[in-house]
Amino acid sequence: MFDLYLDYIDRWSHGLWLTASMSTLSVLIGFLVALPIGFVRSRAKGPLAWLAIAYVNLFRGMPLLVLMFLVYYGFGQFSSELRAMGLWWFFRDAYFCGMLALILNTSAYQAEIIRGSLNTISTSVIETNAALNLTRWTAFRRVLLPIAFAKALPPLGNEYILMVKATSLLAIITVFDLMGEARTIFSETLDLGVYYVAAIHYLVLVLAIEWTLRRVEARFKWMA
Amino acid sequence: MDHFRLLSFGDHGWGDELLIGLGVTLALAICTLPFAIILSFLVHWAKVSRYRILRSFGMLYTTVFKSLPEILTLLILYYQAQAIIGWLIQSVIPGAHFSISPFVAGMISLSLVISAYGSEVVRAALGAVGNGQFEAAQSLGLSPRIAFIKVILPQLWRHALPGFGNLWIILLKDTSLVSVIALSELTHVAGLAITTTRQPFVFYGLIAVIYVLLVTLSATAQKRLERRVNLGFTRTET
Repeated sequence: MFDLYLDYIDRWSHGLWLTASMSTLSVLIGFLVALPIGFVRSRAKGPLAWLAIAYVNLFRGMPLLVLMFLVYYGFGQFSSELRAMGLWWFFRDAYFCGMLALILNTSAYQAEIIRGSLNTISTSVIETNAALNLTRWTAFRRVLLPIAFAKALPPLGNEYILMVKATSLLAIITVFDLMGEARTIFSETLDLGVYYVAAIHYLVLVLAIEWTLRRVEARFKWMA
Repeated sequence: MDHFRLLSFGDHGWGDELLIGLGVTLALAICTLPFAIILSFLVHWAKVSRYRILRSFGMLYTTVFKSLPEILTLLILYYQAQAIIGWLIQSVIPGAHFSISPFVAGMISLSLVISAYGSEVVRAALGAVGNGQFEAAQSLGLSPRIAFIKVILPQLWRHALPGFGNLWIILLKDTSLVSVIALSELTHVAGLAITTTRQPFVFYGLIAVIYVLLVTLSATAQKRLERRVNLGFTRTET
């Protein structure tokens, strides 16, 4: 098993880098997308709220694998239209399509997390903001958002770990992340040990992220 | 009206194939759930066991299956089980061939993954019921087994329902991964349909809608069940 790792060490480290970077990037971008959606979910009523509910239910309701197929292969059906719109470079590339699917998926989950943490902020905090004469925007930016973030940190950390695992699906649309590299090395060697090497990679990566998250959570705990 | 012909039943359309695929998806999820729930209890009991070796095993189990991508677990299980069982059969009957069905491989690996999360649902639910119930049952002279079945389990249901409901939805969506080892469930059938019809957007869009409907249906059913089991309890308690 060791030689399976050492013989292909370049490809393993490339896969590890891709898995780590793509999952981190999609979680961060997903958070930015989720922030307004979660806010709308927790406050607004009417058409905007329905739109947010539709977004969340749609992208949480379908398996990520199907979403990836839909973005990568499904939009390929409209290649001539996309070419005319100048978007073909995006939908032609498995990396971009995979990223888009990951972001759509994680932002739906994160929006629900943000909604939950905004909803659990006690009314006394909001009353205090009013008593201090803070404008709504200042109150949101300086008080509500930091508290909501601190509260949301543990579930957001879980979501991050789920995304690290979810990036393995990218391998199926021909991205060479950890799983993709494992699949190609397996097809060359036909040695099952390859998958065990990949498993150890994932285990170490997830445990390292969990360890880091626990330290970050400890720093924000006083606010939650 | 080309799309309607694509989805029609019979030789020209894919309607009947997709329906069978949907059946396989549902069958896989429904067959997996009881095993996953039973395994969740076993893993939880291992984690709180008196014996250190069982406790470490339980910890290792949850750590491994919560850290590995489901698809990797599935592939390892599929190939490894095939290799081991094949080797065993070869040593008994030389020349015999064996292959594990993708359905069974999917069932086993999904049970393993779901039960790693399920053991935490069980832990939380048992904590919510409280140890006092168990002690009271024992002081009435009930054996631990009877106390669990007759006293704890009926109360546990209410607390475990939200957790297991969420796991059911995750399970339902994770069945799509088994298409990778060529089980002809919904996602795999859609892939087959696309190779002949060249209409990826139609078919993947359609099954995406089917999955969303299944999940919405499950969530609604879950909410109704929760309301039902919580009848007579104040809301703050749940």
